[in-house]
Amino acid sequence: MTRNQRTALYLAAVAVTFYLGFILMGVMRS
Amino acid sequence: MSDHGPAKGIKRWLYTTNHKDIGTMYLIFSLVMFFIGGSMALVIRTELMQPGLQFVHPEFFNQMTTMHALIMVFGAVMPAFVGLANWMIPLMIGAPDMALPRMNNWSFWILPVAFGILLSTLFMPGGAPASGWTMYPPLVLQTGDAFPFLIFSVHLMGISSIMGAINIIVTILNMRAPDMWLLKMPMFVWTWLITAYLLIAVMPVLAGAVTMLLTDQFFGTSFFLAAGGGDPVMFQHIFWFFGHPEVYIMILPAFGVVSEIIPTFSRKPLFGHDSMVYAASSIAFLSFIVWAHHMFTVGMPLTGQLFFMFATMLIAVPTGVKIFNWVGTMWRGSLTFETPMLFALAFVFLFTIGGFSGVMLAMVPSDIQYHDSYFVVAHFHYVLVPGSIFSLFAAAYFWLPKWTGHMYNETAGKWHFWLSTFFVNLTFFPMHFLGLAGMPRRIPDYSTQFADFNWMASVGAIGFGLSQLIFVYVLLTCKKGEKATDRVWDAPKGLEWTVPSPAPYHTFDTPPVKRVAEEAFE
Repeated sequence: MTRNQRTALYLAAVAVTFYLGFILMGVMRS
Repeated sequence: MSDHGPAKGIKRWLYTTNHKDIGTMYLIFSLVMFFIGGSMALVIRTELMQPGLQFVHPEFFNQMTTMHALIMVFGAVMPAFVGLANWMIPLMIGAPDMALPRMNNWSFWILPVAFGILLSTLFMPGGAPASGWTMYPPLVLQTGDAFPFLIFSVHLMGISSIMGAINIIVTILNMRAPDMWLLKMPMFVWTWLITAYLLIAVMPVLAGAVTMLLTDQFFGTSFFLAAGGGDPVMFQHIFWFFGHPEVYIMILPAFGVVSEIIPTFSRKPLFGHDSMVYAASSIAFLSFIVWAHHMFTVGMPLTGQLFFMFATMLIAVPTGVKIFNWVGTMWRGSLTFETPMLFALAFVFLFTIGGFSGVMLAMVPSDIQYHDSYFVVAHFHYVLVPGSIFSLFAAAYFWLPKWTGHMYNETAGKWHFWLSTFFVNLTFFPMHFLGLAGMPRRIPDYSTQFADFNWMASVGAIGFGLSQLIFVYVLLTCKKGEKATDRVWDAPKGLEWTVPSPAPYHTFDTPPVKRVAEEAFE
Protein backbone atom coordinates (compact mmCIF):
# COMPACT_ATOMS: atom_id res chain seq x y z
CA MET A 1 0.00 0.00 0.00
CA THR A 2 1.40 3.38 -0.95
CA ARG A 3 1.68 6.30 1.42
CA ASN A 4 -1.09 8.10 -0.46
CA GLN A 5 -3.43 5.12 -0.18
CA ARG A 6 -2.67 4.79 3.53
CA THR A 7 -3.43 8.46 4.20
CA ALA A 8 -6.65 8.18 2.16
CA LEU A 9 -7.70 5.13 4.15
CA TYR A 10 -7.23 6.96 7.47
CA LEU A 11 -9.37 9.82 6.19
CA ALA A 12 -12.04 7.46 4.88
CA ALA A 13 -12.11 5.79 8.30
CA VAL A 14 -12.76 9.19 9.89
CA ALA A 15 -15.66 9.78 7.47
CA VAL A 16 -17.21 6.36 8.15
CA THR A 17 -16.86 6.92 11.90
CA PHE A 18 -18.74 10.21 11.66
CA TYR A 19 -21.46 8.58 9.54
CA LEU A 20 -22.01 5.60 11.83
CA GLY A 21 -21.44 7.66 14.97
CA PHE A 22 -24.24 10.06 14.20
CA ILE A 23 -26.64 7.24 13.31
CA LEU A 24 -25.69 5.53 16.58
CA MET A 25 -26.45 8.78 18.39
CA GLY A 26 -29.84 8.79 16.69
CA VAL A 27 -30.45 5.22 17.83
CA MET A 28 -29.54 6.10 21.43
CA ARG A 29 -31.78 9.16 21.45
CA SER A 30 -34.90 7.66 19.94
CA MET B 1 6.04 11.57 -20.12
CA SER B 2 5.48 15.27 -20.60
CA ASP B 3 4.83 14.88 -24.35
CA HIS B 4 2.14 12.30 -23.64
CA GLY B 5 -1.07 14.05 -24.66
CA PRO B 6 -4.70 13.38 -23.88
CA ALA B 7 -6.74 10.59 -25.50
CA LYS B 8 -9.04 11.58 -28.36
CA GLY B 9 -12.81 12.02 -28.35
CA ILE B 10 -15.28 11.23 -25.58
CA LYS B 11 -12.95 8.65 -24.00
CA ARG B 12 -10.63 11.46 -22.99
CA TRP B 13 -13.31 12.83 -20.70
CA LEU B 14 -14.85 9.56 -19.53
CA TYR B 15 -11.63 7.83 -18.53
CA THR B 16 -9.39 10.78 -17.75
CA THR B 17 -7.28 10.76 -14.61
CA ASN B 18 -5.67 14.10 -15.44
CA HIS B 19 -6.28 16.79 -12.82
CA LYS B 20 -6.64 19.51 -15.47
CA ASP B 21 -9.25 17.57 -17.46
CA ILE B 22 -11.18 16.70 -14.31
CA GLY B 23 -10.92 20.30 -13.10
CA THR B 24 -12.30 21.52 -16.43
CA MET B 25 -15.19 19.05 -16.24
CA TYR B 26 -16.02 20.15 -12.69
CA LEU B 27 -15.99 23.81 -13.77
CA ILE B 28 -18.19 23.26 -16.83
CA PHE B 29 -20.58 21.06 -14.84
CA SER B 30 -20.91 23.71 -12.14
CA LEU B 31 -21.57 26.41 -14.75
CA VAL B 32 -24.37 24.32 -16.27
CA MET B 33 -25.82 23.78 -12.78
CA PHE B 34 -25.47 27.51 -12.09
CA PHE B 35 -27.70 28.23 -15.08
CA ILE B 36 -30.24 25.50 -14.18
CA GLY B 37 -30.40 26.68 -10.56
CA GLY B 38 -30.50 30.27 -11.79
CA SER B 39 -33.48 29.52 -14.03
CA MET B 40 -35.29 28.18 -11.00
CA ALA B 41 -34.45 31.39 -9.13
CA LEU B 42 -36.00 33.31 -12.02
CA VAL B 43 -39.19 31.23 -11.75
CA ILE B 44 -39.30 32.21 -8.07
CA ARG B 45 -38.65 35.90 -8.75
CA THR B 46 -41.10 36.04 -11.65
CA GLU B 47 -43.87 34.68 -9.44
CA LEU B 48 -42.92 37.16 -6.69
CA MET B 49 -42.74 40.17 -9.01
CA GLN B 50 -46.28 41.12 -8.04
CA PRO B 51 -48.56 40.08 -5.17
CA GLY B 52 -51.05 37.34 -5.97
CA LEU B 53 -50.53 34.01 -7.69
CA GLN B 54 -49.61 34.58 -11.33
CA PHE B 55 -47.54 31.93 -13.01
CA VAL B 56 -47.02 28.78 -10.93
CA HIS B 57 -48.90 26.70 -8.38
CA PRO B 58 -47.75 27.11 -4.76
CA GLU B 59 -46.64 23.45 -4.71
CA PHE B 60 -44.40 24.03 -7.72
CA PHE B 61 -43.10 27.25 -6.17
CA ASN B 62 -41.96 25.26 -3.13
CA GLN B 63 -40.30 22.72 -5.43
CA MET B 64 -38.43 25.58 -7.09
CA THR B 65 -37.11 27.04 -3.81
CA THR B 66 -35.96 23.59 -2.70
CA MET B 67 -34.35 22.57 -5.98
CA HIS B 68 -32.77 26.01 -6.49
CA ALA B 69 -31.01 25.69 -3.14
CA LEU B 70 -29.92 22.07 -3.54
CA ILE B 71 -28.59 22.70 -7.04
CA MET B 72 -26.79 25.93 -6.20
CA VAL B 73 -25.20 24.57 -3.00
CA PHE B 74 -24.24 21.05 -4.08
CA GLY B 75 -24.22 21.43 -7.86
CA ALA B 76 -22.83 24.89 -8.54
CA VAL B 77 -20.76 26.36 -5.70
CA MET B 78 -19.16 23.22 -4.25
CA PRO B 79 -18.18 21.55 -7.55
CA ALA B 80 -16.86 24.87 -8.87
CA PHE B 81 -14.45 25.13 -5.94
CA VAL B 82 -13.49 21.46 -6.33
CA GLY B 83 -12.81 22.20 -10.00
CA LEU B 84 -10.54 25.09 -9.03
CA ALA B 85 -8.84 22.83 -6.48
CA ASN B 86 -8.26 20.16 -9.11
CA TRP B 87 -6.79 22.59 -11.58
CA MET B 88 -4.75 24.75 -9.25
CA ILE B 89 -3.61 22.80 -6.18
CA PRO B 90 -1.17 20.48 -8.04
CA LEU B 91 0.12 23.50 -9.99
CA MET B 92 0.49 25.58 -6.82
CA ILE B 93 2.34 22.95 -4.77
CA GLY B 94 4.46 21.59 -7.62
CA ALA B 95 2.80 18.14 -7.81
CA PRO B 96 2.40 16.19 -11.08
CA ASP B 97 -1.29 15.42 -10.46
CA MET B 98 -3.75 14.71 -7.65
CA ALA B 99 -2.70 11.93 -5.28
CA LEU B 100 -5.46 9.47 -6.28
CA PRO B 101 -6.25 10.18 -9.93
CA ARG B 102 -8.68 7.31 -10.56
CA MET B 103 -10.71 8.18 -7.49
CA ASN B 104 -10.65 11.73 -8.81
CA ASN B 105 -12.36 10.58 -12.01
CA TRP B 106 -14.95 8.72 -9.97
CA SER B 107 -15.58 11.74 -7.70
CA PHE B 108 -16.53 13.79 -10.72
CA TRP B 109 -18.60 11.28 -12.68
CA ILE B 110 -20.81 10.52 -9.67
CA LEU B 111 -22.02 14.13 -9.79
CA PRO B 112 -23.86 14.14 -13.17
CA VAL B 113 -25.59 10.94 -12.04
CA ALA B 114 -26.58 12.48 -8.70
CA PHE B 115 -28.00 15.61 -10.30
CA GLY B 116 -29.63 13.64 -13.11
CA ILE B 117 -31.50 11.74 -10.42
CA LEU B 118 -32.36 14.91 -8.52
CA LEU B 119 -33.60 16.74 -11.62
CA SER B 120 -35.62 13.71 -12.76
CA THR B 121 -37.79 14.13 -9.66
CA LEU B 122 -39.36 17.19 -11.33
CA PHE B 123 -41.22 14.76 -13.60
CA MET B 124 -42.34 12.29 -10.92
CA PRO B 125 -45.80 11.93 -9.37
CA GLY B 126 -45.96 14.41 -6.52
CA GLY B 127 -43.23 16.50 -8.13
CA ALA B 128 -39.75 17.34 -6.88
CA PRO B 129 -38.90 17.71 -3.18
CA ALA B 130 -40.63 20.81 -1.80
CA SER B 131 -39.63 20.86 1.85
CA GLY B 132 -36.74 23.31 1.50
CA TRP B 133 -33.11 22.20 1.17
CA THR B 134 -33.07 21.66 4.95
CA MET B 135 -35.35 18.61 4.50
CA TYR B 136 -36.94 18.99 7.94
CA PRO B 137 -39.17 16.13 9.05
CA PRO B 138 -42.07 15.61 9.28
CA LEU B 139 -42.65 17.91 6.27
CA VAL B 140 -40.09 16.19 4.04
CA LEU B 141 -41.77 12.83 4.66
CA GLN B 142 -44.78 14.17 2.71
CA THR B 143 -42.64 14.24 -0.46
CA GLY B 144 -44.12 12.03 -3.21
CA ASP B 145 -42.28 9.45 -5.25
CA ALA B 146 -39.29 11.81 -5.30
CA PHE B 147 -38.37 11.10 -1.67
CA PRO B 148 -36.04 8.08 -2.04
CA PHE B 149 -34.48 9.69 -5.12
CA LEU B 150 -33.76 12.82 -3.09
CA ILE B 151 -32.09 10.75 -0.37
CA PHE B 152 -30.07 8.73 -2.89
CA SER B 153 -28.90 11.80 -4.76
CA VAL B 154 -27.82 13.48 -1.51
CA HIS B 155 -25.88 10.34 -0.62
CA LEU B 156 -24.15 10.41 -4.00
CA MET B 157 -23.28 14.09 -3.66
CA GLY B 158 -21.85 13.30 -0.21
CA ILE B 159 -19.74 10.40 -1.49
CA SER B 160 -18.41 12.58 -4.30
CA SER B 161 -17.52 15.40 -1.92
CA ILE B 162 -15.85 13.08 0.60
CA MET B 163 -13.74 11.40 -2.07
CA GLY B 164 -12.81 14.80 -3.49
CA ALA B 165 -11.84 16.03 -0.02
CA ILE B 166 -9.75 12.94 0.72
CA ASN B 167 -7.93 13.43 -2.57
CA ILE B 168 -7.22 17.09 -1.82
CA ILE B 169 -5.88 16.40 1.69
CA VAL B 170 -3.66 13.53 0.54
CA THR B 171 -2.33 15.63 -2.34
CA ILE B 172 -1.50 18.57 -0.11
CA LEU B 173 0.00 16.54 2.73
CA ASN B 174 2.04 14.08 0.65
CA MET B 175 2.87 15.67 -2.68
CA ARG B 176 4.23 19.17 -2.05
CA ALA B 177 7.45 20.22 -3.75
CA PRO B 178 10.47 19.56 -1.50
CA ASP B 179 10.87 23.12 -0.19
CA MET B 180 7.22 23.90 0.30
CA TRP B 181 6.68 23.52 4.00
CA LEU B 182 3.12 24.03 5.22
CA LEU B 183 3.27 27.69 6.18
CA LYS B 184 4.79 28.52 2.80
CA MET B 185 1.79 27.17 0.90
CA PRO B 186 -0.35 29.68 -1.03
CA MET B 187 -3.52 30.77 0.79
CA PHE B 188 -5.79 29.04 -1.75
CA VAL B 189 -4.12 25.72 -0.92
CA TRP B 190 -4.36 26.43 2.80
CA THR B 191 -8.03 27.33 2.73
CA TRP B 192 -8.78 24.23 0.66
CA LEU B 193 -6.86 22.00 3.11
CA ILE B 194 -9.02 23.34 5.94
CA THR B 195 -12.18 23.07 3.83
CA ALA B 196 -11.41 19.45 2.94
CA TYR B 197 -11.17 18.57 6.64
CA LEU B 198 -14.54 20.23 7.19
CA LEU B 199 -16.01 18.19 4.32
CA ILE B 200 -14.74 14.90 5.74
CA ALA B 201 -16.18 15.75 9.13
CA VAL B 202 -19.64 16.93 8.09
CA MET B 203 -20.71 15.32 4.81
CA PRO B 204 -21.02 11.95 6.60
CA VAL B 205 -23.23 13.68 9.18
CA LEU B 206 -25.61 14.82 6.42
CA ALA B 207 -25.50 11.31 4.97
CA GLY B 208 -26.37 9.90 8.41
CA ALA B 209 -29.25 12.35 8.80
CA VAL B 210 -30.80 11.49 5.44
CA THR B 211 -30.24 7.76 6.04
CA MET B 212 -32.32 8.13 9.21
CA LEU B 213 -35.00 9.98 7.20
CA LEU B 214 -35.02 7.06 4.76
CA THR B 215 -35.43 4.44 7.47
CA ASP B 216 -38.15 6.53 9.14
CA GLN B 217 -40.07 6.58 5.87
CA PHE B 218 -39.58 3.00 4.69
CA PHE B 219 -38.24 0.78 7.47
CA GLY B 220 -40.45 1.60 10.46
CA THR B 221 -37.91 3.50 12.58
CA SER B 222 -38.85 6.63 14.54
CA PHE B 223 -35.69 8.67 14.70
CA PHE B 224 -37.58 11.87 14.01
CA LEU B 225 -41.23 10.85 14.43
CA ALA B 226 -42.73 12.10 17.67
CA ALA B 227 -45.55 9.53 17.47
CA GLY B 228 -42.99 6.72 17.70
CA GLY B 229 -40.96 8.32 20.49
CA GLY B 230 -38.57 10.16 18.17
CA ASP B 231 -37.68 13.83 18.06
CA PRO B 232 -38.06 16.03 14.95
CA VAL B 233 -35.86 18.69 16.58
CA MET B 234 -33.01 16.19 16.69
CA PHE B 235 -32.99 16.26 12.88
CA GLN B 236 -32.55 20.01 13.00
CA HIS B 237 -29.58 19.65 15.37
CA ILE B 238 -27.93 17.01 13.18
CA PHE B 239 -28.71 18.86 9.96
CA TRP B 240 -27.22 22.12 11.20
CA PHE B 241 -24.20 20.36 12.68
CA PHE B 242 -23.56 19.62 9.00
CA GLY B 243 -25.15 22.82 7.71
CA HIS B 244 -23.09 25.42 9.47
CA PRO B 245 -19.66 24.02 8.54
CA GLU B 246 -21.16 23.65 5.05
CA VAL B 247 -21.50 27.44 4.96
CA TYR B 248 -17.76 27.72 5.57
CA ILE B 249 -17.06 24.99 3.02
CA MET B 250 -18.60 27.39 0.51
CA ILE B 251 -16.72 30.49 1.70
CA LEU B 252 -13.22 29.40 2.86
CA PRO B 253 -11.98 28.56 -0.67
CA ALA B 254 -13.43 31.94 -1.71
CA PHE B 255 -11.21 33.56 0.94
CA GLY B 256 -8.32 31.65 -0.62
CA VAL B 257 -9.10 32.93 -4.12
CA VAL B 258 -9.35 36.53 -2.93
CA SER B 259 -6.08 36.12 -1.01
CA GLU B 260 -4.37 35.17 -4.28
CA ILE B 261 -5.88 37.95 -6.38
CA ILE B 262 -5.60 41.02 -4.14
CA PRO B 263 -1.79 40.67 -3.67
CA THR B 264 -1.30 40.18 -7.43
CA PHE B 265 -3.13 43.38 -8.39
CA SER B 266 -1.70 45.30 -5.42
CA ARG B 267 1.82 44.21 -6.37
CA LYS B 268 2.54 43.40 -2.74
CA PRO B 269 2.79 40.15 -0.78
CA LEU B 270 -0.31 39.13 1.16
CA PHE B 271 -0.34 41.06 4.43
CA GLY B 272 -0.24 38.68 7.41
CA HIS B 273 -0.09 35.34 5.55
CA ASP B 274 0.31 33.27 8.72
CA SER B 275 -2.43 35.13 10.56
CA MET B 276 -4.70 34.37 7.59
CA VAL B 277 -3.98 30.67 8.11
CA TYR B 278 -4.75 30.88 11.80
CA ALA B 279 -7.90 32.93 11.11
CA ALA B 280 -9.18 30.36 8.60
CA SER B 281 -8.44 27.56 11.07
CA SER B 282 -10.26 29.44 13.84
CA ILE B 283 -13.28 29.97 11.59
CA ALA B 284 -13.28 26.24 10.80
CA PHE B 285 -13.10 25.30 14.49
CA LEU B 286 -15.83 27.76 15.49
CA SER B 287 -18.08 26.50 12.68
CA PHE B 288 -18.57 23.27 14.68
CA ILE B 289 -19.90 24.96 17.81
CA VAL B 290 -22.45 27.43 16.44
CA TRP B 291 -25.01 25.21 14.70
CA ALA B 292 -27.97 25.94 16.96
CA HIS B 293 -28.05 29.63 15.95
CA HIS B 294 -30.11 28.38 12.99
CA MET B 295 -32.81 27.16 15.36
CA PHE B 296 -33.14 29.68 18.19
CA THR B 297 -36.91 29.74 17.72
CA VAL B 298 -37.45 25.99 18.27
CA GLY B 299 -36.73 26.56 21.94
CA MET B 300 -33.64 25.82 24.01
CA PRO B 301 -32.36 26.65 27.48
CA LEU B 302 -31.14 30.20 28.09
CA THR B 303 -27.58 28.93 28.57
CA GLY B 304 -27.81 27.24 25.18
CA GLN B 305 -28.98 30.46 23.56
CA LEU B 306 -26.17 32.43 25.20
CA PHE B 307 -23.51 29.88 24.25
CA PHE B 308 -24.52 29.72 20.60
CA MET B 309 -25.00 33.49 20.39
CA PHE B 310 -21.56 34.35 21.77
CA ALA B 311 -19.79 31.54 19.89
CA THR B 312 -21.36 32.84 16.68
CA MET B 313 -20.37 36.42 17.35
CA LEU B 314 -16.82 35.21 18.02
CA ILE B 315 -16.55 34.24 14.33
CA ALA B 316 -16.56 37.95 13.51
CA VAL B 317 -13.05 38.18 15.04
CA PRO B 318 -11.09 35.89 12.65
CA THR B 319 -13.27 37.11 9.78
CA GLY B 320 -12.34 40.67 10.72
CA VAL B 321 -8.67 39.64 10.70
CA LYS B 322 -9.10 38.48 7.11
CA ILE B 323 -10.85 41.65 5.95
CA PHE B 324 -8.20 43.74 7.73
CA ASN B 325 -5.40 41.79 6.04
CA TRP B 326 -6.91 42.24 2.57
CA VAL B 327 -7.18 45.97 3.17
CA GLY B 328 -3.65 45.91 4.62
CA THR B 329 -2.43 44.19 1.44
CA MET B 330 -3.91 46.96 -0.69
CA TRP B 331 -2.56 49.72 1.57
CA ARG B 332 0.02 51.70 -0.40
CA GLY B 333 0.00 49.01 -3.07
CA SER B 334 0.32 49.77 -6.74
CA LEU B 335 -3.28 48.93 -7.55
CA THR B 336 -4.77 48.15 -10.93
CA PHE B 337 -8.35 47.14 -11.54
CA GLU B 338 -8.55 44.29 -14.02
CA THR B 339 -11.71 42.17 -13.90
CA PRO B 340 -10.43 39.60 -11.33
CA MET B 341 -9.44 42.44 -8.99
CA LEU B 342 -12.83 44.13 -9.43
CA PHE B 343 -14.65 40.93 -8.48
CA ALA B 344 -12.28 40.42 -5.53
CA LEU B 345 -12.81 43.99 -4.30
CA ALA B 346 -16.59 43.68 -4.62
CA PHE B 347 -16.28 40.42 -2.69
CA VAL B 348 -14.60 42.21 0.22
CA PHE B 349 -17.26 44.96 0.38
CA LEU B 350 -20.36 42.90 -0.27
CA PHE B 351 -19.38 39.80 1.71
CA THR B 352 -18.86 42.15 4.66
CA ILE B 353 -22.47 43.37 4.30
CA GLY B 354 -23.54 39.72 4.57
CA GLY B 355 -21.23 39.36 7.56
CA PHE B 356 -22.82 42.31 9.34
CA SER B 357 -26.35 40.98 8.84
CA GLY B 358 -24.95 37.67 10.13
CA VAL B 359 -23.96 39.33 13.40
CA MET B 360 -27.49 40.79 13.63
CA LEU B 361 -28.93 37.29 13.14
CA ALA B 362 -26.57 35.87 15.76
CA MET B 363 -28.26 37.89 18.50
CA VAL B 364 -31.05 35.80 20.02
CA PRO B 365 -33.57 38.59 20.75
CA SER B 366 -33.28 40.06 17.26
CA ASP B 367 -33.06 36.66 15.57
CA ILE B 368 -36.42 35.73 17.02
CA GLN B 369 -37.79 38.69 15.03
CA TYR B 370 -35.85 38.00 11.84
CA HIS B 371 -36.18 34.20 11.82
CA ASP B 372 -37.63 32.71 8.62
CA SER B 373 -38.04 36.18 7.12
CA TYR B 374 -36.59 37.69 3.95
CA PHE B 375 -33.88 39.25 6.12
CA VAL B 376 -32.36 35.77 6.37
CA VAL B 377 -32.69 35.35 2.58
CA ALA B 378 -30.90 38.69 2.09
CA HIS B 379 -28.16 37.69 4.53
CA PHE B 380 -27.21 34.34 3.06
CA HIS B 381 -27.52 35.51 -0.52
CA TYR B 382 -25.09 38.35 0.23
CA VAL B 383 -22.50 35.88 1.49
CA LEU B 384 -23.15 33.36 -1.28
CA VAL B 385 -23.68 35.43 -4.43
CA PRO B 386 -21.39 38.47 -4.18
CA GLY B 387 -19.40 36.27 -1.79
CA SER B 388 -18.77 32.76 -3.08
CA ILE B 389 -19.96 33.24 -6.65
CA PHE B 390 -18.12 36.54 -7.21
CA SER B 391 -14.95 34.85 -5.95
CA LEU B 392 -15.55 32.08 -8.50
CA PHE B 393 -15.85 34.64 -11.29
CA ALA B 394 -12.72 36.36 -9.97
CA ALA B 395 -10.89 33.01 -10.03
CA ALA B 396 -12.13 32.21 -13.53
CA TYR B 397 -10.92 35.55 -14.95
CA PHE B 398 -7.66 35.30 -12.97
CA TRP B 399 -6.67 31.82 -14.14
CA LEU B 400 -8.45 31.66 -17.52
CA PRO B 401 -5.30 32.83 -19.39
CA LYS B 402 -3.30 30.09 -17.63
CA TRP B 403 -5.94 27.48 -18.55
CA THR B 404 -6.52 28.52 -22.17
CA GLY B 405 -3.33 30.33 -23.12
CA HIS B 406 -5.35 33.36 -24.23
CA MET B 407 -6.39 36.61 -22.58
CA TYR B 408 -10.13 37.02 -22.14
CA ASN B 409 -12.01 40.06 -23.46
CA GLU B 410 -11.35 42.65 -20.75
CA THR B 411 -14.13 45.00 -21.90
CA ALA B 412 -16.71 42.21 -21.75
CA GLY B 413 -15.31 41.16 -18.38
CA LYS B 414 -15.75 44.67 -17.00
CA TRP B 415 -19.34 44.82 -18.32
CA HIS B 416 -19.98 41.47 -16.68
CA PHE B 417 -18.62 42.80 -13.41
CA TRP B 418 -20.45 46.13 -13.31
CA LEU B 419 -23.81 44.73 -14.42
CA SER B 420 -23.54 41.82 -11.99
CA THR B 421 -22.63 44.13 -9.12
CA PHE B 422 -25.46 46.55 -9.85
CA PHE B 423 -28.09 43.86 -10.26
CA VAL B 424 -26.95 41.69 -7.36
CA ASN B 425 -27.49 44.64 -5.03
CA LEU B 426 -30.80 45.52 -6.66
CA THR B 427 -31.90 41.93 -6.08
CA PHE B 428 -30.80 41.31 -2.54
CA PHE B 429 -30.56 44.68 -0.78
CA PRO B 430 -34.34 45.33 -0.77
CA MET B 431 -34.82 41.88 0.79
CA HIS B 432 -33.37 43.27 4.05
CA PHE B 433 -36.24 45.76 4.22
CA LEU B 434 -38.81 43.11 3.25
CA GLY B 435 -37.61 40.87 6.05
CA LEU B 436 -37.53 43.64 8.64
CA ALA B 437 -41.07 44.57 7.60
CA GLY B 438 -42.15 40.98 8.24
CA MET B 439 -42.28 39.20 4.90
CA PRO B 440 -41.76 35.46 5.49
CA ARG B 441 -39.48 33.40 3.24
CA ARG B 442 -40.58 30.45 1.07
CA ILE B 443 -44.02 31.88 0.16
CA PRO B 444 -45.46 32.32 -3.37
CA ASP B 445 -47.76 35.21 -2.45
CA TYR B 446 -47.55 38.16 -0.07
CA SER B 447 -49.34 41.12 1.36
CA THR B 448 -49.54 44.22 -0.87
CA GLN B 449 -47.30 46.39 1.33
CA PHE B 450 -44.35 44.28 0.16
CA ALA B 451 -45.05 44.86 -3.55
CA ASP B 452 -42.52 47.61 -4.38
CA PHE B 453 -39.40 46.00 -2.92
CA ASN B 454 -40.37 42.64 -4.42
CA TRP B 455 -40.71 44.25 -7.84
CA MET B 456 -37.24 45.76 -7.46
CA ALA B 457 -35.77 42.43 -6.40
CA SER B 458 -37.34 40.64 -9.37
CA VAL B 459 -36.06 43.22 -11.86
CA GLY B 460 -32.63 42.83 -10.27
CA ALA B 461 -32.77 39.03 -10.51
CA ILE B 462 -33.70 39.07 -14.20
CA GLY B 463 -30.93 41.61 -14.86
CA PHE B 464 -28.41 39.51 -12.91
CA GLY B 465 -29.42 36.37 -14.80
CA LEU B 466 -29.05 38.05 -18.19
CA SER B 467 -25.68 39.57 -17.17
CA GLN B 468 -24.29 36.07 -16.72
CA LEU B 469 -24.65 35.49 -20.46
CA ILE B 470 -21.74 37.93 -20.85
CA PHE B 471 -19.62 35.45 -18.89
CA VAL B 472 -20.56 32.70 -21.35
CA TYR B 473 -19.61 35.07 -24.19
CA VAL B 474 -16.24 35.70 -22.51
CA LEU B 475 -15.60 31.97 -22.22
CA LEU B 476 -16.62 31.24 -25.80
CA THR B 477 -14.50 34.03 -27.27
CA CYS B 478 -11.47 33.49 -25.04
CA LYS B 479 -9.66 31.41 -27.66
CA LYS B 480 -9.72 34.45 -29.97
CA GLY B 481 -8.00 36.65 -27.41
CA GLU B 482 -4.35 37.66 -27.58
CA LYS B 483 -1.78 35.08 -26.54
CA ALA B 484 -1.15 35.01 -22.80
CA THR B 485 2.38 35.15 -21.46
CA ASP B 486 3.52 32.52 -18.97
CA ARG B 487 3.23 34.91 -16.03
CA VAL B 488 0.04 36.49 -17.45
CA TRP B 489 -0.18 39.34 -14.92
CA ASP B 490 2.35 41.95 -13.90
CA ALA B 491 3.90 40.28 -10.87
CA PRO B 492 1.99 37.20 -9.75
CA LYS B 493 3.50 34.93 -7.09
CA GLY B 494 3.30 31.17 -7.08
CA LEU B 495 4.47 28.08 -8.94
CA GLU B 496 1.48 28.04 -11.30
CA TRP B 497 2.95 31.07 -13.08
CA THR B 498 6.26 29.29 -13.74
CA VAL B 499 4.65 26.83 -16.20
CA PRO B 500 3.73 27.83 -19.79
CA SER B 501 0.32 29.24 -20.77
CA PRO B 502 -1.74 27.19 -21.50
CA ALA B 503 -0.52 24.83 -18.81
CA PRO B 504 0.79 21.65 -20.56
CA TYR B 505 -1.20 18.43 -20.10
CA HIS B 506 1.46 17.19 -17.66
CA THR B 507 3.29 19.57 -15.37
CA PHE B 508 5.93 19.07 -12.67
CA ASP B 509 6.81 15.51 -13.73
CA THR B 510 9.87 16.24 -11.65
CA PRO B 511 9.37 18.46 -8.60
CA PRO B 512 10.39 22.10 -9.11
CA VAL B 513 13.87 22.79 -7.81
CA LYS B 514 14.42 25.13 -4.90
CA ARG B 515 15.49 28.05 -7.07
CA VAL B 516 12.27 27.98 -9.09
CA ALA B 517 10.23 27.74 -5.95
CA GLU B 518 12.02 30.69 -4.40
CA GLU B 519 11.67 32.85 -7.50
CA ALA B 520 7.98 32.11 -7.55
CA PHE B 521 7.45 33.30 -4.02
CA GLU B 522 10.14 35.76 -2.95
